[in-house]
Amino acid sequence: MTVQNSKNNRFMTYYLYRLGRLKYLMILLMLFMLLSFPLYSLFIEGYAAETLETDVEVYSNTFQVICSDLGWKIFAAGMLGALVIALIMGLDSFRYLHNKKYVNMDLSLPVTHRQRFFGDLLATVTAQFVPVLMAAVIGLSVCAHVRSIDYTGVYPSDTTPYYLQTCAQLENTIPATLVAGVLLIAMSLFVISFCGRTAIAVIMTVVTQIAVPIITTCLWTIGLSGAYGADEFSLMNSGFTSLISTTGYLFARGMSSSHQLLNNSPWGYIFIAVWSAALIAGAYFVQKHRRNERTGEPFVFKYARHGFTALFILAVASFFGMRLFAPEYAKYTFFYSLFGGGTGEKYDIPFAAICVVSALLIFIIMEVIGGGSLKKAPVSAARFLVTVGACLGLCAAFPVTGCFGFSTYIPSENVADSAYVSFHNHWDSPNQFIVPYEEAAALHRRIINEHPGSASLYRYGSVGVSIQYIGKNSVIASRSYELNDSYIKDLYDMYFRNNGMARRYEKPEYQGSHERDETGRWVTKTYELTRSFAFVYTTNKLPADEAAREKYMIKADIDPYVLYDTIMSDIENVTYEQMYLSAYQFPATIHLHVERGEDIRSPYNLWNMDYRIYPFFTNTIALLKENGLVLFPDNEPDYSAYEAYIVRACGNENEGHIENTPSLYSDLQVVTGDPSLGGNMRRLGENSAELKELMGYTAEMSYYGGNERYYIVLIDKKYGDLTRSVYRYPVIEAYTARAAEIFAAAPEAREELENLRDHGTIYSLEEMEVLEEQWREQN
Amino acid sequence: MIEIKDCVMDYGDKRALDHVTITIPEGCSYGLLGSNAAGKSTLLKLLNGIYRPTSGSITIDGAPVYDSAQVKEKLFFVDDETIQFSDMTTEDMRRYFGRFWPSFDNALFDKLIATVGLPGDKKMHTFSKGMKRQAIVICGVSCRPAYLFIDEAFDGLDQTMRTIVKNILIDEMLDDRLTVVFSSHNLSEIDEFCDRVGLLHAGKVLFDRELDSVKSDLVKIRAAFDREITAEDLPELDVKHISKSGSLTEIIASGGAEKVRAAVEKLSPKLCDLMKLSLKEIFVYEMEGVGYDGSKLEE
Repeated sequence: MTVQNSKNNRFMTYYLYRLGRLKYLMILLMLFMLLSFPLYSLFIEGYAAETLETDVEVYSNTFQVICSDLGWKIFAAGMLGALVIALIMGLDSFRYLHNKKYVNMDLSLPVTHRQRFFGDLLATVTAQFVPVLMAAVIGLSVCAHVRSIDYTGVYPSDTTPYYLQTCAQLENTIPATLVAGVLLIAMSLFVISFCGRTAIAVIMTVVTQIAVPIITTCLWTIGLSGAYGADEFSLMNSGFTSLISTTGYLFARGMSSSHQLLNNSPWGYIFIAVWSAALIAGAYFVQKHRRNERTGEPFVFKYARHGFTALFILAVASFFGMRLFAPEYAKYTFFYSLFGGGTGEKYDIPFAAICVVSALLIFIIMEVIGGGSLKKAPVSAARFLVTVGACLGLCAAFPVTGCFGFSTYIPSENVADSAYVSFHNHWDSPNQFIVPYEEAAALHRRIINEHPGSASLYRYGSVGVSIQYIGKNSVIASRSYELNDSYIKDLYDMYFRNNGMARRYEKPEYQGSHERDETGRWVTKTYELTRSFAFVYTTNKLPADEAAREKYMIKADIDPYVLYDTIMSDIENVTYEQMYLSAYQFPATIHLHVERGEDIRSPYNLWNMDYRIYPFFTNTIALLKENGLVLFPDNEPDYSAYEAYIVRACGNENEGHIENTPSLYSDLQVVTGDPSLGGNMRRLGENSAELKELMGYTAEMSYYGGNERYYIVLIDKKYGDLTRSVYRYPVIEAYTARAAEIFAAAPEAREELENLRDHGTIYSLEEMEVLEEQWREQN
Repeated sequence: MIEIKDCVMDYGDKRALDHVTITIPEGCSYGLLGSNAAGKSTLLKLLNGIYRPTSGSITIDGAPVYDSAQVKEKLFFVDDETIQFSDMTTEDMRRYFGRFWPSFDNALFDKLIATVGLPGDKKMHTFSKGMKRQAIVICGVSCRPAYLFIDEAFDGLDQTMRTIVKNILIDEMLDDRLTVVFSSHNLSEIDEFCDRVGLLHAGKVLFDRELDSVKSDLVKIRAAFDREITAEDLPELDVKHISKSGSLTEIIASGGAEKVRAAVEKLSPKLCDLMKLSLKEIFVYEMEGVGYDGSKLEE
């Protein structure tokens, strides 16, 4: 009676039939994708042509405007339309799941469940991705043409034209679109497998896409709060949890600079592929065991409604729980600003009320649309309370259990072979050291054992330790601990004191970066020195102008290895207190000019390095003095020197200035000395030998060179040695107060001083001469 | 052959089919009879592999139906609903069914479409109810299935349309060894088409017999007696009904015409006539004993 079809025939027949049904939606999707890619690419090309004044009549100013504003809006609208159509395609292909009128028609067809499922899936994927790929090909072709435009001579060499940046961004959206499409299909298919009506399917799909990233973000944030030392961004933005939903992926992709799994390893995309496959497999088996006669009911499985309700209430509860259990972390999420997050209050009553009402509304809506019965009020109320309680309990479980063991997690040596360790302390800006795994792990264990309990959120600028374990391709784990001063001292003493300081001094052959050796460990990149030569000079108070600078260089020829070894010998004896106080001291900076390599014309062969020399580096200071470079001289004069620059007169563009002093110092204008000292106030020219000597005393200061003379004001040290304390406001205030005392005997000078202090001006040479005369007369 | 063994189908807490066992031989024209919500449509959907039974088995030619493409190629289901084809023309339907049923007969399809005069370029939603029914029956017949399942084939059709559709079906039933399963609550349709009939009530099979044997078994005799006759006077018969109207006594009993007549004549009636029973009467009297109200069935 009948001719039998082969399996393959049946599958292809069904697939082609389904694809044919989607043809109009495909055309619509293609239109939206053309808006997203090629059309916008054409806008960019028009803008580029316009910018470069190419002779193309069609490109006008309109394109420029369109590109900069309308273009992005059209692009966004195109992408949004594409997402909506993609969802409609999925619903249409699997219509027998949620539209009762097609159940008999579709399920009586002579195809198996497997053929039907994969035929529908493949048709949906084809219908979605073919337009995307076609649009991408066209758009990429246009972008390629844009890139070929020669913009040299129009844009500075160090500037990337706007349209090229936009091209790059567009090109990045193509893989993101494909990946987001895969996740969208997989997740939507899984969700609609539980639904029996079209409206329910749409609502559940959309709300699930919103709820899932909220849940993962909030739960992980709560988890971080209980996971001792976890970096607030290490999991939220770099973990797998951000990749389990379309919206989560797009959000993570938008923060591409920080997402480790998407940027630094293939694991992010492997996870997405595996997760999508799991969702599709889940959908397959759910549909296989689904009762087709229940199509038409809101939910096809008995407890599906409860599952979705719990999921949505969990989203609200996790959001609330984040504010409850991790208020300090809460402000680091993008939700913070949405819900009155300015107060930082742990218990925010309006926010709590919003959450409770939201949860209740969700419950009621789900009960109503799902066919539940609110008439059985006690049962419904009990179910609601149990659901909310379970959700909050889950939220609480994270911090209570230390994120289920995450708090004591130390990667094994198999996966992490080295680590970055940073000590953040008062005496230094944070320096990151690369250390072997064993050292980092030992430090980590000690911190965990000696500082158990809830984590404190590490804040940049506070005192603490950061440890980042490094695996083959990326950071495996990241922890930061806020610790007190005495503890950090112990740690530093034990692990990094001398080593830590020593690490700030690179060896002369250092090339300026780090690389992995053949074992995969991080090592410094080094350069083989062909000539051991160091041209050492200090840049204290050097003008920017090379010619002027040359006059003030104090040079010494020192073997760089000898210098380095001497510094290391000083560091061996450094105490914690010395390092602590060094934050308040001015080190002298010496520069090494190291030659290496055969071709001295190569910039890589003339290498400049800086070493900071602290006053307690006695051996090094002695070595330098032997070679003619005096730092912190013994015969330090009895005065300190400050600059006094002539604001009104500086104008010689040939002599610039080095501004490496803080602005507060540059505001300090002192024009007087102690009249009782008699003659301490001087005027010094730029060629003054004494000035040169003074520059050795006054580190990190700047001056103006100008065609006007400048002043060096000498302050007797009995009023306080301000040389190394210039950063301290209180000292400066004390000094200015002292200056006022000095002028108590000369009221007119005092008034002038106050004007000077208030208005930031300074006396001219003639005015200074008048004052000087007055003071001498008084004395 | 269709075998339904101990089939149970539940819709949540409601049992639609309760341990149904039916065998339909090949080439049979089977009428599935029952009032609304008896379970007829449910059984048809199970037979077409649309639903999966809660328990029990359904096989066609020895193979389970559910999730079997090979078996489904031998079946065709004419649903009482046609809304799913609203946006299709008859040509679209030809292509649609022609894809999935390799045995689709285009010549037959063209012939039948021409016979009934259905337009090929208009969408189904512009058709009348009768035209829609014609179209789907024609598609079903053109697929040349081995088993044709029709749910409420003539429901809502006027007499002319009924005749047309009937003729289409009859022609095919005569030409091929086609097994047809009709569901209906109309006895005259069943009487006209079916060899065998099964009666469903509240999910249970109350009745599953050859129609001829049903008709031949139950006999109505009108006789005139001198005295009052009761069922005790005819112990050898299974008397379904005795009533007196004037001088005439009406006796309905099973056992076949000869046996019943012989038994009645033993009582020396003055008058004895064998009457023809309508199918409805047969069902009314047959099902009275099991508490089924046969008057629900239409004639």
